[in-house]
Amino acid sequence: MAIQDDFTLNYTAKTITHTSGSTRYTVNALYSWLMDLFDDSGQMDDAISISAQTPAEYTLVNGWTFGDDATVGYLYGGSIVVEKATTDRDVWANFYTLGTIEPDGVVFWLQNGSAVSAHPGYTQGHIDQLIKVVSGGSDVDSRKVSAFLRNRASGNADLYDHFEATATATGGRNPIPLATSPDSNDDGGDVSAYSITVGFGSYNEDVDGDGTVEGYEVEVDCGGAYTCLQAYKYLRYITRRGETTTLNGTQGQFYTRANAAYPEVKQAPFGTFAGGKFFGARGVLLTNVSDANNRQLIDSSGATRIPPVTVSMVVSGVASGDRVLVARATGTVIDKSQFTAAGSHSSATTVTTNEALAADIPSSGVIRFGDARHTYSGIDRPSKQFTGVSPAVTCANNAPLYSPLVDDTAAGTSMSKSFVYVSDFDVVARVRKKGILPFENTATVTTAGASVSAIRTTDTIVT
Amino acid sequence: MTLQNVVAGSRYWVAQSSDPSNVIANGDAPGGDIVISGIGALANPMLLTIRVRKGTSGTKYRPFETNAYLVKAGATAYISQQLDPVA
Repeated sequence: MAIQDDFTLNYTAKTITHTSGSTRYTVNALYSWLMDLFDDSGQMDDAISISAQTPAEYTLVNGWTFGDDATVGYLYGGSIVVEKATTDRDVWANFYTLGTIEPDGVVFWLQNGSAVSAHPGYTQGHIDQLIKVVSGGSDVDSRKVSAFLRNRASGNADLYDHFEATATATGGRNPIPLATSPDSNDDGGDVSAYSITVGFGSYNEDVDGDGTVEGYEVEVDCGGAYTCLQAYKYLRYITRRGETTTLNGTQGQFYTRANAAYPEVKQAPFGTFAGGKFFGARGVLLTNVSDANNRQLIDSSGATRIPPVTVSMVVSGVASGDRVLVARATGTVIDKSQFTAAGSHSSATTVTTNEALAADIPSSGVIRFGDARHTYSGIDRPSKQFTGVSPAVTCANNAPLYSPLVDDTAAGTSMSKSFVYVSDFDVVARVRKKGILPFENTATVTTAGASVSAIRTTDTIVT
Repeated sequence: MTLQNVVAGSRYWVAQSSDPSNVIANGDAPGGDIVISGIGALANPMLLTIRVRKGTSGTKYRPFETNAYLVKAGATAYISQQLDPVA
């Protein structure tokens, strides 16, 4: 079928209407057909219906209009201005996508907060379509149109993308670059049953453990039951194509960010996932996950917040009653001058040091002044103080002290201590008890922590 | 009435401007000048609308439209058709 078979002209009403077929035609084809038609003998008494400004920009003139908006769905490859009156005009801008996308990706449109239907016959892949950006002489949302690609099919989920284009006053042909590729972290499986809540408002949490809470505008609460990866999949699920449940007033399929002033994360609007870690978009607080260390968030101020990495020092192979000590050391020599007392102390339950108490000093534990053992129940890092010290301490100014990681009598087959990892350091571990040969070994605490397996060899000589 | 410089193959149409249904001429241009004779003047002068179009085959031209006053001595219109690189 040719274009003249699919479109009908009404010379009285001066309308052009698509009335047959499903073939789509370029606007240039429409123009060329009308130019051909209007030089016929029978049409010389009619004013021409269309003019061309450029090969991509056309105008219906002399009172000609489209019979209905659906007609325009069968045109592509150029824009059309419909001059209905001096100030009454419609502008159908032409938008088309380009770039490397997954072939089964389905592009969908957003204009002025509402979805715009794809042209007739569109199923997937790149799209070329006319969208009305000026209606009755007034711009529709400043002539802005966005194209989205958010495919999350089962077994074939892709990274998302979207792009906003602004048409010129005359419509024009507007390219929309899109890029999608398979998402190696999301198989598109059904996560609809996940009990993860997403809230919008003002939220505070000390994610990086620096003692000061940070502000966020979105809270993704996993209730302690889900990993960061599961949360990532769920957040993609609620922003996939076709999701109309609203997020902060916007349909999920069109959600882009917590705040219009924040940068967009197009591949995944709440945050991306890479290397086993969730990288949150600005203002997104992912909380109550079962693997909290696998988060890197950006608070509302734009500062990156990385949760502290908690590691453990484990001494295994011990028996109940064994005396166990693990302390920082150089080689096998314990660093007993790790800290010095700031001023003299007298029966003090708070010990102030001259040195900073780094994040890798446990928040409770043991301090030793030489051989004197004291426990502490708290730590005030800004004030460089061990608090809740027992028994009370009496010492001179600059008295040396240190904080062993483990310093106690074993009650079972292993002993351990958890603390925040800051940097690698060496330790020496000792296990002693009359009846076994003294055990000593060294280890290095890394991001994986450290472990020492004690060897208890019977002392056949001691009596 | 003479139409000068009409591209061969064009369609020309001349009608009374005040009453376009009064078509004075409608035909295919052979090339060169087109002389239309025996026009029954309804007024002196009489304003005419002249249209020349060529959008069907070969080199295509943008629709051309102009007006001219026809007097007893006749009238001449110079037709400046422009190429249509789009169609």
